[in-house]
Amino acid sequence: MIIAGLGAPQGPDVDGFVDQARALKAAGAGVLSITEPAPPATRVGPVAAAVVLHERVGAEVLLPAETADRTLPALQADLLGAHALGLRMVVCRTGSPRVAGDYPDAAQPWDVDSVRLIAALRGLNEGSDYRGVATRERTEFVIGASISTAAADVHHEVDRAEAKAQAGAHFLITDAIFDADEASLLLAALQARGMEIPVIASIAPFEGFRALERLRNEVPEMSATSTAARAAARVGDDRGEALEASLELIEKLRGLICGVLVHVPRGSQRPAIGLLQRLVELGSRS
Amino acid sequence: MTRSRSRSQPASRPRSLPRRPAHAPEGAGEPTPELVDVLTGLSRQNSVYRRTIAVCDQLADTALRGVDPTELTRVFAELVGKRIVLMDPTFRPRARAGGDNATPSPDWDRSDPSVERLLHALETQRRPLRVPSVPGSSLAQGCLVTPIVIAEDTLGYLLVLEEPDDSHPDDVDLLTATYAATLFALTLAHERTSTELGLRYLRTVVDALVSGHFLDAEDAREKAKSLGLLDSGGFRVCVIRWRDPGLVGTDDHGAAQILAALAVGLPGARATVRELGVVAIVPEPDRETTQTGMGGVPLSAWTWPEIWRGLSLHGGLTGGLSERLDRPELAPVGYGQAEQAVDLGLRLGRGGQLIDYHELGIYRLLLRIGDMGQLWRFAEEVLGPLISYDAAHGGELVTTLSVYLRHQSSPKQSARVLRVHANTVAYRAQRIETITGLDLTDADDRLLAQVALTIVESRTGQDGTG
Repeated sequence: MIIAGLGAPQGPDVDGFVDQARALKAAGAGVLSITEPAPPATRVGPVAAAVVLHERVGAEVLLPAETADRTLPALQADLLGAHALGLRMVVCRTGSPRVAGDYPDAAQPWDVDSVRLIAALRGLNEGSDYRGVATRERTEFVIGASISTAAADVHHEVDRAEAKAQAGAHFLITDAIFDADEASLLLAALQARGMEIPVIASIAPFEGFRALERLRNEVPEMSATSTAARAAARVGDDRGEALEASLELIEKLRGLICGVLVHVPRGSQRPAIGLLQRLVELGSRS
Repeated sequence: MTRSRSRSQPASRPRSLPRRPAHAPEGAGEPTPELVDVLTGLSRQNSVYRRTIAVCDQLADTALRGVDPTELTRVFAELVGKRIVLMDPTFRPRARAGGDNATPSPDWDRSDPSVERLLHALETQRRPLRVPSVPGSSLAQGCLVTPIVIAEDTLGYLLVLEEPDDSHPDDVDLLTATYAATLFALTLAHERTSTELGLRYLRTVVDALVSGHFLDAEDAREKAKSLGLLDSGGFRVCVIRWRDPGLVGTDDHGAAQILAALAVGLPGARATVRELGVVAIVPEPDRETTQTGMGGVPLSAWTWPEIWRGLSLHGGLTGGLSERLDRPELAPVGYGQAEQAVDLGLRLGRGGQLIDYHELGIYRLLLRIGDMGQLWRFAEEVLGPLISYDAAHGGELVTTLSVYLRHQSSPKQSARVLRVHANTVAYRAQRIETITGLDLTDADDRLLAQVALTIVESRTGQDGTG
């Protein structure tokens, strides 16, 4: 499975966003994904962006849902609205509370992590809401959970992944992988634990060193190794080299993953289209 | 970049952190960054819940004062500082408040598949849904929709509209809207109960009037006044009955549909449900008033058959309409007439139509003979040979007799209607006299023939009273 990940559009004019998504679909992306669970205030919300893609591009869309800063009833309301509008695939993340930025006062109750959100969605699929009250109609969510291949404590991350699978996750999706060896270590540990859940690998090859630095500094669980940092620095902003490095990375993970999510840089899709086409070729050869 | 590492860069601190107790050991007192984060979060949660509780308390206070749903909407909008729309169970706006009044409510186009799916989800999930603002679609206005439900009944929907700069949904909206929906449910249920009590009272009065349960003319007048009937120039009694007697009384849904149709098509009508059907007292459309029904057209512009068709009732329903009555104490008479009209309509095979007692003519007399078999036997005695002759020879003597009698035994006028020569009519009249033994110049024989014809024609619905 090849997935193209897009940021939410900047404003209400979504034609460019739709055109970009159509081009990515034509290049081989079977599924589209919104990659920002909580875009800044001036952008279209992730559910709205996903609905636009679903309705105007005719694609299945992965919707991110973060529990940080949110209550479970509110998340349920958001996701039932999304489900009513045709969205089925949800990736549950715990995320981090929003404590800085353009709108720093968004202090909210925060009462669940991703495991409980996954369990709540499973409940809706089975005919009851998070309180255990029966629903008249079951939902059909395909539930994804996130794992961090760069987690400092691999054992803890595998425990969390297992908890998410037990809660009801149908698949796992990694954070952006920069170091294939590091990712292999975690994915192999999942297999060693006997988990047969499908895993989708995320790559952000065109964001390069700056993206890695940002992740290292701003995501609490992230512990990108110095090896990964060096690898990303070596690739730098050379997009041709980034493409080849990505293919090499995916080759190394073959057998451990069942799909790839490519983060498409905002405003520049040409290299991503090239990568998607190469991934399609790679898939057809195997 | 909107996120930062909260562990190392908390954006804000609680206004005051707990002080280290005086007896605590030295060096154990300074709060760790993790503790600061926890306290910050708890402080914020505390603030959110305090705000929520304050809003809910004030709203509950308002609801308990017995205000109507419109006022409750206004107060809720004021408390939360948002635009609020109260929708009815069919998702039409009922009340709106807050913000700029010029701002339109969400205009959901039901033919849009997305809207259809949302309405279906609201109906089946019966839980709050957040509808995002989707650019370039019919869902341009984002909102939080909370169903207002009591048990299996959906009484309406409460919408908290997103403001243009609301990019991050406020969970407090959901908490307050969910609580508010409960209070709206109580208010709407109270309103519905009051309305139902009022309707029940009106039905009792209609029952009393048509049944003659009043002391005297003055009492009947008072009852009619309470129904709002004295303002009009007169009234009629209408009976609407299922083809299958007794079905209305046992089928609440069918009766409800009739009452709903009357409320729309004949807004001044006051109705009650009886065992055999619905009985309505209907103000006579006054040529000088502008009371409207059926798409806003003045009722005075319609004939009764047109009004009946405009009600779009189920095809299995038959109506009976009394003559125009001017005094309330005559309501029982009107009820009797309407019942007789509908009885005859059903007997004559005119189910599905409105039978006007005024147009029944000779049937009014015939109605007094309850046994239809006796009437058929009489008709056969008089016209049996003629009917047999027509059947055997493919003739038109029965038709000729009918036209001949209706045109004062004039061969010339009858010939024009039948499109034959006058001599042919004269010849046929002689044949009719020979076959039946009637003398068509004799007034008694003509009456016998006319009554027998009416009975025969009623069998095939050719009388023209509808």
